Amino acid sequence: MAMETMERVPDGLREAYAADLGAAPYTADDVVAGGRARMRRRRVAAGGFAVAVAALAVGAINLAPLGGDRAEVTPPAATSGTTASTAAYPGCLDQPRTCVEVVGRWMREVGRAEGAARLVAADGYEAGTVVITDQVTVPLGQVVTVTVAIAPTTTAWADDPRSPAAPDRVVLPGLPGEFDRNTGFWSARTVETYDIERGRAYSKALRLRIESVDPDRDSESAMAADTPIPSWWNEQSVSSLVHRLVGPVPSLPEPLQSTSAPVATTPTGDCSRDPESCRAAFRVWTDTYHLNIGNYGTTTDASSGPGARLFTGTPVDNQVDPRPGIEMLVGGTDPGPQPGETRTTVAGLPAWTATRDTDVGVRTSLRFDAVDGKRGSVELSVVRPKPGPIPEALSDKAVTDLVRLVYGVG
Amino acid sequence: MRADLEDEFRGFVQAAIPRLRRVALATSRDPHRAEDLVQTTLEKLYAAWPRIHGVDDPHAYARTVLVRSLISEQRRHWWQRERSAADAGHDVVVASGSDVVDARLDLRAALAVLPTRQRMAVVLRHLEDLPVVEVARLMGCSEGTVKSTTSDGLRALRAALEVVAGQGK
Repeated sequence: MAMETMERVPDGLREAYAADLGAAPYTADDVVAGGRARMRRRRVAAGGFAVAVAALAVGAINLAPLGGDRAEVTPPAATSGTTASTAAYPGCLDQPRTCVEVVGRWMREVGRAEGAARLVAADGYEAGTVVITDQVTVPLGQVVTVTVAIAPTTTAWADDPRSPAAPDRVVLPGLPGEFDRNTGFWSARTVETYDIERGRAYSKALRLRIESVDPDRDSESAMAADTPIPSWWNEQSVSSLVHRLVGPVPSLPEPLQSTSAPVATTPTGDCSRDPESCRAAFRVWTDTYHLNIGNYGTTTDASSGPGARLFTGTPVDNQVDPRPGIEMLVGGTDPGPQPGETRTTVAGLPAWTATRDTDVGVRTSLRFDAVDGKRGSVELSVVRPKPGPIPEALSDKAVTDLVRLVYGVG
Repeated sequence: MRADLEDEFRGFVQAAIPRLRRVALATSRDPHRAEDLVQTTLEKLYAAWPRIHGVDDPHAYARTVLVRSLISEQRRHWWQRERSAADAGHDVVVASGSDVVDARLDLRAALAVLPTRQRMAVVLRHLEDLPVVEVARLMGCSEGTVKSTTSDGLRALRAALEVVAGQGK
């Protein structure tokens, strides 16, 4: 036995881990670059990426420059419940307590909540305000609370200590007027509010507030971490809820636009050079296929070489138990065939597919290598339990769409 | 971030990487995940650096983030913690014939088979030399739990060392 007594454990540990660690696979510059990107993502996480999804839904993003026809990536029959419709909902603002059922139904359809919405105390608001709340736990564990306040004249809430001072003025798809949008980040939580003034189109003032809290994090470990909002929370879904609450509005829909600073939320077809574009592409793609992935976070992937970005998610709509996991690795170095892996070249494309067993299931991968030295690689992997059906996300069409979004070819 | 703070942060990173890697590699079974964990921890610290750069011991702050991140890592989905079936045998360390190297490899292999919390408690107590109260704070449990977890970990480590040593002979 190499160690005779456990009294030697401390010395043994120090000896074992003080030596032979080798050079770290990252430098201080890598860390600083990653930190900057993390801060940038945190700033735009709540509002920015939703723009791309909403814009795709209303046709504002033209995918033609990416080498394809937008019609080819039109989502299947709309089942997500996020499409705004003025005709289907009469509105409930005149009897705001009846909005409980409207909010609850919207949360069930859009957020897949299972509980019921309820009225809560309207402390801090003006007299006559009705406050409704509903809550759901999303797949990655965040608790998302949606609160709707319906006030006779104003939703101003002087006692709210968390209201950021400088809202964006945004236009929501299909709704008249501009909305104040506040986005805030605190320890382990992301908060976004939309305030809609009473006016010609709206008989009451409205405040929509979403709060995403990660109960697994405390203030220290979450001090700089993203607490992502679920994919279903975007300007399109906000618009849908407002439509349901206010009913038909007199003004014609206005084009989607935002007065907030532009961010890199549109897939550019070269996401290996632009991680933010890459995340937008992944998000657009998963939304297109109703994968409803709850987390679009990225991480650097030290095991794949400098600069690699790993996007992960779990599609909650897939009828496979346990659910498959989806990863998209952008950039990085191809380590070559892994033990037990057999690769098959894709005819006519700089790509290969591979399947290998892991301890938890079967990993199927498709990797596009860099083209003419201008773009990095993209690798899409799906891990599914064995045996299990092939997820829709690995269908030829889905993969082609993803590659077009992130890579500009296909 | 201001340039002077960023320079200060770079200096901290260079000093902190070896210490954080040592803890991460000892507490995480997968060296790749351990490296990711350290890098992620430092990236988080970058954003917080303007607030924490003046504290007495920023390394303690970094260690807290690292440990909490590791705990969160254990809560990730099963498929995100997957390991290639072909890699499964890599935990079995083959003796090299050198007593010193064999001792290191034996200990690493034995440590790797401990449950996460036992491994963490042993590493924090005996590699980082942290007092029980600090380990309890880091792991989010009582001091009594730290003591019993560390004791269980050492007992399991002893048993694992006997198994590993037996394999090497």
